[in-house]
Amino acid sequence: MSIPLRVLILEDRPADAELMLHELRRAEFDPTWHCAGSEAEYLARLSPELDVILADYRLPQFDALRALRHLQERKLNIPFIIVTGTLGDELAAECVKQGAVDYVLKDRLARLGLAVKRALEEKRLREREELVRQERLDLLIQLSQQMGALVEASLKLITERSLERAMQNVTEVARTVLCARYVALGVFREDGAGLRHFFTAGMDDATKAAIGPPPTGKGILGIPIKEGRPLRIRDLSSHPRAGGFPPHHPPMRSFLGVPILVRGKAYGNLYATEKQGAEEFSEADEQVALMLAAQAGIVIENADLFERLQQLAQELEERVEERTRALRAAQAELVEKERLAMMGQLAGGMAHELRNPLGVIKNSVYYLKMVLPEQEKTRKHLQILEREVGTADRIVTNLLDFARDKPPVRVPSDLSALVREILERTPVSENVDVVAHLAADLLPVSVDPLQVAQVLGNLVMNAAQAMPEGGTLTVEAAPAEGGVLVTVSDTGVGIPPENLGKIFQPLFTTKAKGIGLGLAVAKRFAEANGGTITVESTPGRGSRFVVRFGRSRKEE
Amino acid sequence: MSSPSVLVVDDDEGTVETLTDILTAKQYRVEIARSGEEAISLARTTPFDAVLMDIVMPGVNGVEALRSIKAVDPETNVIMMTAYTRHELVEQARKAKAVAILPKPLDMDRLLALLARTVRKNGGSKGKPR
Repeated sequence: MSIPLRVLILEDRPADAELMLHELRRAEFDPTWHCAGSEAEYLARLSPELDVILADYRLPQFDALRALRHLQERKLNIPFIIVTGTLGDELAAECVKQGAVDYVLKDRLARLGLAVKRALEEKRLREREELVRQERLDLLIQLSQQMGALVEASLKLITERSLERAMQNVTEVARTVLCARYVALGVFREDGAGLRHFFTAGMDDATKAAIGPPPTGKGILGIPIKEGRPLRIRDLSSHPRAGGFPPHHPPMRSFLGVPILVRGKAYGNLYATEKQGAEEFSEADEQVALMLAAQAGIVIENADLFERLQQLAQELEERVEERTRALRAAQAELVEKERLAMMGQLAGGMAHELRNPLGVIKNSVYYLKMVLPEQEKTRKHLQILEREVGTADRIVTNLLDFARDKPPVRVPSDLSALVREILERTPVSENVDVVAHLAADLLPVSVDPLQVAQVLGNLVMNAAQAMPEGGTLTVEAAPAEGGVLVTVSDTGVGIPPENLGKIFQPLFTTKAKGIGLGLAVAKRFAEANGGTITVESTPGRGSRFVVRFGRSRKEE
Repeated sequence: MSSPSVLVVDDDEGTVETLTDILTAKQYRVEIARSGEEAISLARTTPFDAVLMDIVMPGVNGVEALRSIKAVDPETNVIMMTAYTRHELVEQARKAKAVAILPKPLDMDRLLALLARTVRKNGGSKGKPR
């Protein structure tokens, strides 16, 4: 079978041209040919369609070297073979240098067929090489574009403060660079239980909504994480582990998934599906995806570190603030303590100094009661004197007790007896009826009798003073679960609800006179002796104070 | 039988005066000392049915005086009084075997009852009129 061959013969002697054609036919070529005898004819016939040019070296006003130059100027890649009578070595070398592929001497024209075959073969090889080179160049260009995008993405990532925006950027960049239809990026929660962020690119909101909640990493998406390596799949639909995609996910074939790792710690995963313009993702894509994932990982790690840092800074600030507050409070407390200590000393000294004159007045009253004749007015005034001395003494004692914080000396005590003694020692106005219900068989409670006497005495005096128009003061001592209840009730003015919470505060008073220590001391001593004190009151009807003490430890 | 004798010891003039009048009215023979030192020297020369003494006094305090008096006659009945219910001397007085420690202002009924019991236990008059 003969091979078609389009030939341009540059030859001024038709007989020689005929000989060449003969040789070509002998070499099983089927030549279609033109013969040019001048430069003008040659130029007119030059065309990319030509398979080969056979040229005599020397022509009238023209030669093969010039013909070669024309070829090169037109960038025509056509094998050029010189067929000549004589050609010195130097000239032959010059011709080859200028682009001739071969030369055949006319007296050895039998070689022509082989020379043409070889020239065609070489051209084919060259063209294939050129194709390969072009492909490589294209790939390089594509890679450099990817690199450019990566660098741009990196810059964006470095300057982006918000983790969410940075990750959305990575996702978008990955989609562009990897030529993927869809890209998704998941960031794990710090405890590893599920995702804290999920980003997608190439998906509109409606599609996202149709897919539903972000993936859990149980199916194929989990593989890059579990195995810590990229996963590249040509066709998901035929992959045995392709489960895990929700039913409404758009159809996908090619898949590329990489873990987001920083120093071996998995921060999330990045995966792309549906490679555009190719059947599957390439190894280069995989490398690019890994680089993007590494970048993303560092950004996530940095964001986490930044957050930790901020948290620590905040904690530190709070601690400093707290310590400062505590220090200030301690200092204020110290100052207050010193002040109170001084006040206490002053109050204590004053109280003791007052007790002596009070005692003398009391003694004098006693003497006068003894020696003065029974006379109503005199007796009444002496009683007033006695009562007021008692009140003054109680105030002085409260001041003393409040000023110094003495621990109780607790001994088993009979509260009924204590109450009786207090009622005897605390004279009240004549218009106040005193009713006492004191259980006879009370179990002893472990209290400091002096302090509890002060508690109950203060309550009794308070009750008496709450009834300026007279009334009934009831004192009860009764057993209660695990101890003893002492109740002091009056039928006096009562306490407004808004004051109920304040009456035990030191220096709180609603009375025109009094310094507001009685109930504060009562509460302090009740609690110091393991007891509680509560109050209920109805304005206009009276108040009821309940003191509860625990049973003596010896009796338990 | 002569009336029982009581030594009243206090640096406070008002207390001394009022106690003297009340006790005298109650048929006691009252001697007065205005300091611990004075009380000690009186008790050394004269036995009393009872001593009624303040605890906190300048100079020799009530507890020191109580110890000295007890050293002379361990049987002497001493009732202490004080405006300082929580003073450390109060505890010492208790340990030094005071009959009772009464807070000031005094509960006079209680004091008189205690005094009567004390001198009765003593079997009447001990001291002699000077």
